Amino acid sequence: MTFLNGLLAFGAAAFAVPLLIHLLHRGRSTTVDWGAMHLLLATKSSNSRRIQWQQILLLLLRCMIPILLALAMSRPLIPTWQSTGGQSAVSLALIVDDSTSMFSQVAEKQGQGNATRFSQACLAASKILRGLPNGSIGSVFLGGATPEKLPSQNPDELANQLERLAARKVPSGELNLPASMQGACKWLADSPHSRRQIIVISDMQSNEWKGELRVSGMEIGELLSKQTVAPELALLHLGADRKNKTTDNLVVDSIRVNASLTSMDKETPIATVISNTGDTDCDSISVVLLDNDFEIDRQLVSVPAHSKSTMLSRWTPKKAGDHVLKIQILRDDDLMADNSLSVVSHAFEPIGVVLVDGDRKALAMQSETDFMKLALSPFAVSQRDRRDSFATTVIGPDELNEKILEGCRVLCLCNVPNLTPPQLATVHAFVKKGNGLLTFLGDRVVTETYQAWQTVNSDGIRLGAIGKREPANVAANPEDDSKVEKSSAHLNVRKTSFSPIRELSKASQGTLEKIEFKYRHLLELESKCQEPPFGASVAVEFDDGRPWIVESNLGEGRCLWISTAMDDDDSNLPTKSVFLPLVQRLVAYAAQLQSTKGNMAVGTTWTIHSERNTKLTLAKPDGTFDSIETNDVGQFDLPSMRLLGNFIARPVVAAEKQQNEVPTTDQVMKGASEELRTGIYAASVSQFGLEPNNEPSLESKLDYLEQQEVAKLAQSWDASWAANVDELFASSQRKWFGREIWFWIWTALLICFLAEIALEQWLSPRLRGRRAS
Amino acid sequence: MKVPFLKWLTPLDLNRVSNLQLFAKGIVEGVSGGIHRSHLIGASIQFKEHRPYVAGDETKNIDWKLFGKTDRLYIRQYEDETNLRSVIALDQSGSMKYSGSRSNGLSKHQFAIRLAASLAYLLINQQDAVGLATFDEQIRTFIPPRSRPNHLQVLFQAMEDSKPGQETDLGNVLQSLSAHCRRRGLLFLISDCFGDTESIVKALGILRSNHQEIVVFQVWDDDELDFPFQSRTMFRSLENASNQLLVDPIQLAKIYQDNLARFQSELLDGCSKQRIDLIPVRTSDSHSEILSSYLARRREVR
Repeated sequence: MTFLNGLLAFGAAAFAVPLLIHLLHRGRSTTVDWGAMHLLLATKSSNSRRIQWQQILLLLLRCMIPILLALAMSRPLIPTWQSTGGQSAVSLALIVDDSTSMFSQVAEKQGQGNATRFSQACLAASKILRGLPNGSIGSVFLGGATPEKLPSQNPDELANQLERLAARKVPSGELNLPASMQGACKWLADSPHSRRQIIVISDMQSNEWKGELRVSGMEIGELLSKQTVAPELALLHLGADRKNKTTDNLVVDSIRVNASLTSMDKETPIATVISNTGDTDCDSISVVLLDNDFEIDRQLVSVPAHSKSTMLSRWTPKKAGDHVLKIQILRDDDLMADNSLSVVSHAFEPIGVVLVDGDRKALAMQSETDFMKLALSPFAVSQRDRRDSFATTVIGPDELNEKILEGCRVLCLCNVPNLTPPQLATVHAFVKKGNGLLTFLGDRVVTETYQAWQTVNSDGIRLGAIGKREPANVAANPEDDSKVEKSSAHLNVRKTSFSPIRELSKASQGTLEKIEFKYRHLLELESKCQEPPFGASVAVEFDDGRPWIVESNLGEGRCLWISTAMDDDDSNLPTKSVFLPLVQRLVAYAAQLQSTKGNMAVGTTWTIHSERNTKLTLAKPDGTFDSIETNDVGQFDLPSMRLLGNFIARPVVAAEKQQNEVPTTDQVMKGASEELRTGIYAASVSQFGLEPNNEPSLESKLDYLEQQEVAKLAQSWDASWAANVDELFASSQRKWFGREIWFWIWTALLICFLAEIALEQWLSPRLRGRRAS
Repeated sequence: MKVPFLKWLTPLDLNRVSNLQLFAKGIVEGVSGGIHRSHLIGASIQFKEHRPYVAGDETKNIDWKLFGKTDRLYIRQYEDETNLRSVIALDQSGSMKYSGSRSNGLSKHQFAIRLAASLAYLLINQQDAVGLATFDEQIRTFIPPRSRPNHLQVLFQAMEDSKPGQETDLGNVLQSLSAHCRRRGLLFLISDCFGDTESIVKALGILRSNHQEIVVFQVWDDDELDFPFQSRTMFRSLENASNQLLVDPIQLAKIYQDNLARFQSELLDGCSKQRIDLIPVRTSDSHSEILSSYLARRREVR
């Protein structure tokens, strides 16, 4: 016997209360030394025994009442008793696999058109739901990467929802059976019925169903048997009807935008990897690259069976803003859902950078900012007719004022000796608005005045003490206080999590470690500056632990303090090839710009940064729309984006402009006016986001478990399996379910109550009469 | 000097008792010159003393010579004028140990001793011979009747030595007592009379046929009559500690009362058939009142 509400069964211990009262009462007897025993003895045999029986009966009844009450409330269940057949109400949890492989075509079947396995699964599920006995409840879990429960318990409502879902063409990653199973078990644990069932509808794709399917350390069979009422598990194997058919499937494995920062009118290379996971060779397949649904490149690609091919394209963004780059294979194969892949890349307008040169010289490459300017605007310097990502302006320290900072995102102070108080206030206000400040400390820097900046006001530009410039080869050995003789200092970049350096290629990082630094300033962080709002921290260190770059916050802006100058006096860095990407990334980082932040892995949370309290319309990959509104800090979190594809959010104003028509994605992208352009946000959800993965096309490998394997798996989980719904119904009818026995317990309880009252009433007049006499 | 009777008789009791006269109901063996009627008329032998005349004394016994001298009425008394031989049989069985809540701390036995002491004092005071028998399942002490005033000391000492605790066999005791009471006399039986009523009545009948007038003071504690117990009670026998009974008194009370009524009616029937006075007394009653009311009743009968 098990209990549906086992905890309440402990209430049966309350039987101790009447028993205890009885025993206490009994133990409280007084002893009297009595003379007239012969008058008492005559009564003993006849009366007292009968009285005792009545008392014991009353006690038994009173003990039974709490026991029965607790039993009735804990809802006992006799699993070996047959219930009233298959027509008793049931709690059914359906797990519908909506992984990518489920969207493969089953067109060869007559009368099903372009049906996918997923639509088959949805229809099967809705058929099951509609066939449930009266009073049943159901729940549907879509079992993709982040399982989602449909918001209803009513079988008919769920069936309707599933029938609508059947038309969906957008997959949601890989089947997450353990999490779905856990969700189903959790839902069933609270269900009101003793008959509980889990049905998994899946194509049993090998990569999902083979290997370890464990839920918090337990096998699925174990998880089910651990439930208070073990639900019956049934597997509906949708792939069972395919017989050794050769597969035909091309898949876009990855798109890589080979630039850290895409900016307007700047040519960006795009590498696409296309795999053939099928058994047939594919020759001259058209592959299209779309930028916001505009075709920008089309190539013919040949991919032999079970191999990969790379396609290189070039893309020049014509507009600033989020661009959804989509690779589309124009071919009808078994699995259409993996024939396209998108990435989001934000194209920036040329970013205004003001370089303040503290040591201007007439000769080329002698000034402090010459290398910086070359690195940031190489085409402008070489007078080529191409656009740079950065629009640099070089000024002297005297020219720094509010006007020159207008439209500029980053200010670089290169070896600037000093700033006047008004200039300092201007810089302060500039950074606080959310712009970036890079300070390169060179030989002309007046340490004391820099030190003084830190006390301008309570939220000044501060990071700690700036020490004297000294040769980098004289470094104090922290262990024995002796001077260690070194020719130069090197960077330690292996441990850093500083993204501008981490995003560099491995080769570039290696080069960076070999850079020789001859002079440097000593930076020391003050502890009070390390806490918010400043949050100063060492970003990059030398190999002797001294900071090279220190990062701190000011308002919404970001400050980077670099302890060396960016000319070739302090190091040989500017002469190396790594200098250009490093400087570009540093400046972009200071400006808090990132082209690829819209690319996410399935199941993650997308945070939209927009104006405060702005209403946005969110277009989802499955063609549905949501209204969302950003909060007081201009953010909106969209959790668990479980559908693969593109999410595009845009202000409601744009929709109103189109006379309340619900626009399609390309309308949004094409029709957005210039001022609204920045208000459009895109995210592309793919299987693994941008993280490199060895086998991104696992889901696209269309091989499935054999029937024997399914049968074996079902046996190991003590489950039944079927290849179609009718078979499933037939097998579930044969199953036995436990029966609740609450009716009998309530009846017994009622009888006990009545008997107790009757006995009490029968006894009490005798007692009362005796007392009165 | 040890004065044990002071322990038993309060001054109030003494005062009341001394003013009472005890009259034997029937003809008692003794000298006819005494205050009691006797079949041995004029058998006066030895002058003992004068005592004041009390209303009810026969006028023939008045010492008219003394009246002539003193102008007061005196009765001449002789040594063997002792015309009443009375024996007080005092029950010292275990059941007499019971002391209830309303008996002023007196056990039935203590109450019986006081009653016996009052009687003894009363009888000795009027020149009657008083003996004492204490018994439980058999007679423990027997002091033959004497009328000398200092005999009272002996009686009181014997009473004081009496310790209750044994089982009782009243029928047997009464039968063996009849061996001691050959002559006519008065037997005061102070007991709770617990035991087999049939054998008791039978033994009393033997005594009665032995020319004994018998007065039974049946000593009850209030608790024994009312059975006031409410909570569960373990009743432990006073006579035999191993005999105990755990009962719910409320359930039991009616049956107890029935038993009690039956017991009393059996005893009363038996006694009245034998013309024996059965006087139920409660330990909460005052001794002197019991005595005076009893004597008053005796006078009416006479």
